[in-house]
Amino acid sequence: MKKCTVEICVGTPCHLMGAQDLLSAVQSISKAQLELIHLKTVPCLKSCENSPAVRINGEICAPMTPDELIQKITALLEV
Amino acid sequence: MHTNVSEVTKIKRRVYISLARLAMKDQLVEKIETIPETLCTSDTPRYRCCEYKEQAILSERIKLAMGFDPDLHKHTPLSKLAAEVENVEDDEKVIRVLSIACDHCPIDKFIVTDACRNCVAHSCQNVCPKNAIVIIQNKAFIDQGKCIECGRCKDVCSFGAIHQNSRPCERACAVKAIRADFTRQASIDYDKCVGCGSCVISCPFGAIGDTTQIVQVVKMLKNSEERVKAILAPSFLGQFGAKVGPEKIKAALQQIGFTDVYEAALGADMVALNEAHELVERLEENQPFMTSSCCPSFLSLVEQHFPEFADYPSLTVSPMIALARSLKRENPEEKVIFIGPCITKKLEAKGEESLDAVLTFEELGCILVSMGINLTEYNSKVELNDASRHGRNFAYAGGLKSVIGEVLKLEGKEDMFKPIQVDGLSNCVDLLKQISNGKLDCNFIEGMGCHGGCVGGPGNMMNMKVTTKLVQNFANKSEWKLATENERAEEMKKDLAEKIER
Repeated sequence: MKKCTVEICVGTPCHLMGAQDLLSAVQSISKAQLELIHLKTVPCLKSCENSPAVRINGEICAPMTPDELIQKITALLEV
Repeated sequence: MHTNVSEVTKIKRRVYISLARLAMKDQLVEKIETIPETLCTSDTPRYRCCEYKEQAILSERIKLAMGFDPDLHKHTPLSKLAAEVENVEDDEKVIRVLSIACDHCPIDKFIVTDACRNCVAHSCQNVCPKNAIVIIQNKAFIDQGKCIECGRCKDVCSFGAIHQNSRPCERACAVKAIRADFTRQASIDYDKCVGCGSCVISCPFGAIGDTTQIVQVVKMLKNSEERVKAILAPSFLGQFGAKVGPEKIKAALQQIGFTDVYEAALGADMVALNEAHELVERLEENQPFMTSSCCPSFLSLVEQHFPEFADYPSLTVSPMIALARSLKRENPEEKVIFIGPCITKKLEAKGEESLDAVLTFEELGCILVSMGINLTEYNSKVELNDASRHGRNFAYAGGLKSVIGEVLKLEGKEDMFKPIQVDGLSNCVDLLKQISNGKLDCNFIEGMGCHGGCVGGPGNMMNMKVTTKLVQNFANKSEWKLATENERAEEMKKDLAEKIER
């Protein structure tokens, strides 16, 4: 059972502000944890002014750094 | 290179986007002075002493991004420079140090850290040939006036307590063209610099930058009477994300005002044969070896730092120049812009009349964002089909070498071919030194200034492992396997005649 859905925006504004780093940060967490996440990339989250943007369980988080993203995900998985 | 978008990179990109946006709206002169305040407020993260210093640095970045020398125009207001952006003075320099942003990193090469235990052996004192080490307050201390930076104390300390400092810019430069002046300010020796851009990406303070033509290009694109052609370097695959294919990029370029989009690989098809034939000719004339000439950093390295080899690089022009000259020949009125991964191409283009501007992929990305373009949302079926597998393979290290090898094989001359491939400027220096000392036997050198070849260039936005794969896939999908099968390239090459040489 997936515990959380992480949607990383890879639209051009977010790409320029480091969307790829967010993606590789999530991909580098442990396999067991990764299995609990529904990870996908999306074309736009309408938060271009605060890029890079991520939507976690329906909530927009922007701007995001790789560290913050991992912290958020870990917190959600521990619940 | 460039897998991480650091805060330095983000700041630079925000500056580019803001500039392009104002240029697009024709508000550059009127509103340029507001950019530093908009990008840096009392609420944004602080890296320097105060927001005013950050804003001052942003102003200098803006000047550089418009192509001006920030030192020369220290006291000129941004709005005045913005009004003169079409007439930016040209002193053949692309990479500059932003004096105000340089943190004056320490130049003392060896220092004793707190790990020093003031041990009984005092090996550091014993080994120092200049008696530069004294014990003060129970700890070793290096008298910098006496130190000759030999590093023996560091090697001998059992605690590893002696630290070797090296400035990131100096460490990055393979030709020792950047060093600290007496005020510890970094300064570039342009007689030595080959324009590779390693220092630009190595400085964690973002204190070294390259000039751009973002504003000039936006103005060209806005002018509806002007026809502007884009030449896309072969490493463009995946630069805007692994899923943003060549069709989407072409469609977006056409939407923002480029009338035509060409693969620079078409130019590579034009030069591939020429370079192979030139090699045969030169070897028959008893020249010991020939080097490639498509990477301007490598070419400058040979010409400036190995004068004994200055006649050995191929005389064939780079793919960018070959294609630009053909396009200008077809229509001299139309503008030609090269878009690539490269800072040194900006330098190469300065002496070339057939090119009107050079952008990096990063700069193009900023222009696209400023115009509200999101490439992932494109659904395009326009085709990009200019080049053969050969030409497209120029984008990564080793590509050119195998293309020349294949051409020679077709002509039954593969036995004479003894190639060596080298990438990364420091590796190029080492290799040329080895050849100079007679330690290497080869007759063709493919030299690329960036690690991994063009896919590893400083103006890229994607992990080069990913983009190298994408480049290879795209090359294999080409209609033609060999450069010779590309009839258009053959024709353009014929039309250029002797202009295919430098």
